[in-house]
Amino acid sequence: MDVSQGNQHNSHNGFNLLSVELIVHILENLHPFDLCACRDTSFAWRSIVDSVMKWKCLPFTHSSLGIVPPADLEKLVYYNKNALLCDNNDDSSHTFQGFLFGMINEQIEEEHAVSPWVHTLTALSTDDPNEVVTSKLRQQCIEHLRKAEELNPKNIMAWMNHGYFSVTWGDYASAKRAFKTALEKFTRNEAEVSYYYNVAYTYYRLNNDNAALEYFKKSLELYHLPFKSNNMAPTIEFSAAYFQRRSQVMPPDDHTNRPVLSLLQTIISSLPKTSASSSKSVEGRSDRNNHKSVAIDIRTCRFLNEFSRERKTPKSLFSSSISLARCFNHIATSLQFLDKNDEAFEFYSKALSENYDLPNVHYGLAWLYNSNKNVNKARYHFEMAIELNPSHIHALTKLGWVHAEAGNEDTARQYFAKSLELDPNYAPAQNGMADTFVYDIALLADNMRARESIGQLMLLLEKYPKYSNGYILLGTLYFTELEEFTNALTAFKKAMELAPNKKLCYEVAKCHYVLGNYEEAKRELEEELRLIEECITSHVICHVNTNGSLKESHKRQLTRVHILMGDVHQKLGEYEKAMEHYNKAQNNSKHKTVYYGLATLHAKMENFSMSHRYFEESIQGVEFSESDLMVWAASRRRNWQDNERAIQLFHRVMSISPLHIQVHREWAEMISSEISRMKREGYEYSNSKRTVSELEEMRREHVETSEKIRTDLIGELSQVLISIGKKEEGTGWLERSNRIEQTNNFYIPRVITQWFTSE
Amino acid sequence: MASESISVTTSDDQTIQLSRKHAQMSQTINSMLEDSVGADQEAIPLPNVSSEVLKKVIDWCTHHENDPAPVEKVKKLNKKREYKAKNSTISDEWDKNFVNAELRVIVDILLAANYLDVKGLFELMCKHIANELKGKTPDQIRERFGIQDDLTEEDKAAMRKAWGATKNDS
Repeated sequence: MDVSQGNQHNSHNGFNLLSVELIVHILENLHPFDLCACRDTSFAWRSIVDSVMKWKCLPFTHSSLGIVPPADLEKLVYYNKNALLCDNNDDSSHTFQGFLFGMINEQIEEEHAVSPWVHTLTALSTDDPNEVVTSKLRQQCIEHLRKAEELNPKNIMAWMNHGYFSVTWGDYASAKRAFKTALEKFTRNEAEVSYYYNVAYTYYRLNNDNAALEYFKKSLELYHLPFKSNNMAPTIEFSAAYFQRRSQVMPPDDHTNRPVLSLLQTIISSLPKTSASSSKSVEGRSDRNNHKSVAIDIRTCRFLNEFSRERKTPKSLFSSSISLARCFNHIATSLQFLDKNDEAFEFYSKALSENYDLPNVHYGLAWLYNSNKNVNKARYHFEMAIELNPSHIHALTKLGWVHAEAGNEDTARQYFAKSLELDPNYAPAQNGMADTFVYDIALLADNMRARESIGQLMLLLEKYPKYSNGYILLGTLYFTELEEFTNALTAFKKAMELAPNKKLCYEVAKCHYVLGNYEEAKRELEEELRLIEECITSHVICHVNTNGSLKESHKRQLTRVHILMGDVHQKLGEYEKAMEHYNKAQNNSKHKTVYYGLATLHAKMENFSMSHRYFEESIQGVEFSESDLMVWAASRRRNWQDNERAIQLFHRVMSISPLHIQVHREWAEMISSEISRMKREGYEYSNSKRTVSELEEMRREHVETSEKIRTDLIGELSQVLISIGKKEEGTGWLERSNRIEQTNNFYIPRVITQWFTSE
Repeated sequence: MASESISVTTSDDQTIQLSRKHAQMSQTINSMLEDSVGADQEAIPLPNVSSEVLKKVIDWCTHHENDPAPVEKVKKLNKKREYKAKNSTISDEWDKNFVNAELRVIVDILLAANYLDVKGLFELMCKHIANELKGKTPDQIRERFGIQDDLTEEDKAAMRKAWGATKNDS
């Protein structure tokens, strides 16, 4: 076939000379929409374009409700459209295309911006407002899904997608129809909970509460939790859990949670009766269990109530309950959990006015006072709790902490001892007791007597085997002071076993990284990322994140994890993934270590001009890390006591970032690679428009700078330490300096670790 | 030792000298040189390329002589970047000026680049023509490239039904 078949009369531009093969090469540069325009020009072009589309057809024909990364949507639409052009009667391709259009629309609505590509996709000019684009996308989404439904009425995914997007866009009638059809078409023995839930939700939105409740009940029954009015707690717990699970994949907003709330309110209406009947024998064991159930109900109710921002007067819910003090206490605890301290105070006060003899109310209130730094009142209420219940192990331990924080170590130890008498394995008490001894041990470590401090710490851990903080300290000492990374890893793992904590994942990953176990490091970091994400989600759900402080702390955590993740991927040679993580870190913070990572990565990818740029950035840094170092130096102030001169000098020395040494060294190495490449390829100029001799000069300068900073920083610091009598510490720094000299492998764990861990 | 310049004879019987470095940027000439070791003095016949077009090709080769070899580029591109490589944006200012020519000349350079197997130039020409096609309705494409509309109304209606409306119809 020749393209000239279609343009016999117009040979003036020579276009008819192009063979089909050449036309295909040209068309490969076009998006599907432009291809369609070409296709419609003539018979010959139509044949060529069709063949191009068939040739490029890829098997993206399955439907999926997975979350597609925004960057891939464009690619997927492109390929899937080609699949559709090959077989326009494939219902799964239509489902997938509908889903993709819906997702793009969501993306646009989230970002409030339309890319030029979307204009092409929707065949609208760039002057059109966003609304027009989104309405066109919605229309295309629904059209594809309808087509899929028409082609295969049993395509449940098409119905579900149809329902899901209709809900998102507020068309509840269509959503209900689609969800109900999906439920009817479900051929397995037992439909999934979500199918009933979805129908219930749409009924709820359509103000048909009776039908909504009926479907809610069915969804709950399927969860093997019978809907019985006298056993509400598990039902509500499930609802809360289910709602939380949904919230993880859907944005938390009123739309998604109102139905659950509605259900809860229906259930709660029967709660006072349950509470009243159980309160007849308050001291009985079974009744305590009932109270616990009621407490769960109340807490969940309050939690969800807060979440939906629909304030209800608790008294109206529990008016007939005689254990109102307990209810108030539980509500106050929930409020405290949500960081709504003012309201929590109010409810604790109400609880005390109802009944002053409840130890848990005093305990909760004391905890609240303590977190507000009102130590005297905290102490009073902890003492009240203990007076009312001398076996209140939590109050005893907490009071021990209060005394320890105030510096009354002997009194603190007495309270911890009482707790341990009641339960020798009670971890918080062991932690508290051991912590009163650890200060002196840490002091030893600060004076470069790490071995000695580790020996004492081991003895302490033998006595208090659940002392998780002790293992963290042990790991830190091994890592930063002795650089015994295997021992550090064992200690951090033990700490993790005793008290799982996302920050420990990072410590473990760091050990794996320096030991060269990059796969293990990756696994730990992935776990930490998952935990951080979970944490962020839960904080968003709780609306705790109001003052921005949590957000900042999450940002910091994410930054350091992404930086280390980038380093790990870089070591594994997975440069694309490394780049992805560095970019994510860069989104959260402009920390210079991110630039350093990017610079070394680009150097490895032989992208020298970018590498130069990032090395420059890492030296200059947007947020100079001096402040981090100051924090670290300040934490040492107590050990340096009156030696002001030493502190000042130390500050001055530390203001020269040790990272600079590493940056200059790596920079010099990168330039060496750049020069070798130029020589190998025979280029006169590098990408950064420099000659070999210019680059040689640059390289020499960086090596010299690195050496100069090394001498200034470590040499001067050592001299200062020796001059003020801290000979061992000074010698330690000098030894490290020599080690850098010998191994050419920069590592000052003490400083670097503090950079990453200072929060 | 091989000489530093190569002679080629164009379709209009002109003999043109070009440096060995530029000649080797064409896989076609490079293969001919390898096949005729020791016969450097003979002009290589290029019957499908005119002198006017060859000069254009040499201009392009001169500007891009220090570019990394395209083969190396392809080797380094991962899947994601390969997709991006199909983006038809021409970023080099010099290239933008170079393609600013009549369609007839562009097509001739494309054909020459294809015949001489100069990958970078071939890709550039394809991108440029693709850019010319971009954002145009079928009517505009016909007009620009001189394509005769030989589709019947039935054909057009059938296509619309099968594939949906194009910009022309909206």
